[in-house]
Amino acid sequence: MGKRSVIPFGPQHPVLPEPVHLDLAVEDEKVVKAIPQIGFIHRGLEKLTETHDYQNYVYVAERICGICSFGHSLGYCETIEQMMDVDVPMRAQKIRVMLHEISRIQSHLLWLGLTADAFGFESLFMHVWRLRENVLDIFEMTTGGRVILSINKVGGLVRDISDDVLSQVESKLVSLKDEYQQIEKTFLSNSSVKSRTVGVGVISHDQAENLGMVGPFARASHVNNDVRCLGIGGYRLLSDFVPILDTTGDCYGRIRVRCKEVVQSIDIALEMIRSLSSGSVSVDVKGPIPDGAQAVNLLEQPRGECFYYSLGNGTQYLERMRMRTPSSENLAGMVAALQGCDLADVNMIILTIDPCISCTER
Amino acid sequence: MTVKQNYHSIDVSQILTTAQKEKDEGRRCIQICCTTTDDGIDVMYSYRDFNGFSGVENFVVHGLSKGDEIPSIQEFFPSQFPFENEAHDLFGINVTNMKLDFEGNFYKLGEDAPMTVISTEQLKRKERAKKIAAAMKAKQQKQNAQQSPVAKKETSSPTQQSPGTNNKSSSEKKGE
Repeated sequence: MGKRSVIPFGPQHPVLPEPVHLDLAVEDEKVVKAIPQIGFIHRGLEKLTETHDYQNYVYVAERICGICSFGHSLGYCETIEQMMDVDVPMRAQKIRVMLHEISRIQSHLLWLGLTADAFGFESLFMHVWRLRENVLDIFEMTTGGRVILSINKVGGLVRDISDDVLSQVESKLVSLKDEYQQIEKTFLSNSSVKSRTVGVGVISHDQAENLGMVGPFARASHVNNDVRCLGIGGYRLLSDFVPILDTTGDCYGRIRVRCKEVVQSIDIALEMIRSLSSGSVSVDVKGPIPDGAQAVNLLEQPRGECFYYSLGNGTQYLERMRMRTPSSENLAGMVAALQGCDLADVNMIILTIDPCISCTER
Repeated sequence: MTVKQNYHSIDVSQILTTAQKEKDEGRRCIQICCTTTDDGIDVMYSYRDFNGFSGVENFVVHGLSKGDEIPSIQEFFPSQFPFENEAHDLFGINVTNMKLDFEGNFYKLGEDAPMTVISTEQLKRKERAKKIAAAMKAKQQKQNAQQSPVAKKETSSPTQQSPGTNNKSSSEKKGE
């Protein structure tokens, strides 16, 4: 047994897109223990319900994180709509699902580029981010924003999307699918990718369940907790949804799940566009939230199950707004995956788990 | 479709037994949420199925005070360590027997238990809302009280009824 030493990893590190600190206790280049530390970017966004009324808080919710921006505004609006018993028009529900799935594509492509960059696979990184630009163009065409979309409001959407624009989105998604599938094939069959990821950071099915893991991290260990299966909100309108699962539980399995989810999300977005019918996209929601009204909502964000809870107090301001993000559920799984790994594999394991610290800290 | 959800009140002494029972029944703890209310701090534990979906079961411990102790459920659900440390740092709840305890350094905060501080504006808003709700209730009661003698009067003298309000009696009359 070698001498034990502790290596501080992060919060500033080339492979970490967001600030998380890890104390890695190592013996002979093997990680024997990892202790995570967050708290560098806590902004107290849940406390802001005191100064922003429930209509304006949508704009705070979507600033929790730049990558999951649309998802947070959607989850928040659905929670308030549930509390106030609001029926959102069908067209708005379908557009919400479409944009949420395109957000997932954007998030997964961002992650794929960063992973390729960590490998030193520079050309793949550039190709993937080139494709991601097309997705951001879709956001700009449909909402006017590329990162913060500001299209959700309590009761539906702020504005409608014209049929012309939707047909352009459809053709962009079809061409994106073709281009992406070529890149996906290259990435998944590449021998250097496999040599770095196969059998690394393995989490078994039982471990994944016990550690309460969520999202693609859990699905790579064959745990099906995809919230989209439950048909909450607009997801009940999907004709058929089968979650993508893997049995390996290693870094390669996590990469494969996310890569396949991009194609799945393109298909869902196309299904929503093709089934859109005309109609209004919002209903007026006015008045205070009843005192004591409360609601729980779940949403499948790109990183997994996100939990929303809100409590009213009879005013325009919420008594409590809670967002439990997927990355905070996956921290225990991340620690377990790091235990016993080689020091050189730490970056690969963290990247394939894809923690979002902005979401976690709020 | 919305999420099926149930809320149950529990005591501090039932936190561990509830966690054990929920785990045995195939549910996992998905979050712990503290809320500062007029009666103190409420701590809500939410559980969801491992497989399938029968809804979210929420167990709420009501009326805790800053500095009160609750037991850690990390023994059953290790993924809950961020929320237990958060309960300590943001609400001042002492969570005992935590496996991963950051001892108040989970978040870097400028003041202790910031989520328990209620601004004067928020207090004023809540007071005003309560007054409005009380006034509305009183108005409603007054209206009900005014309507009930009229209703009694109406039943006693059918000739004063407006047309169509009592079709049965009018048809009976026609029949007669």
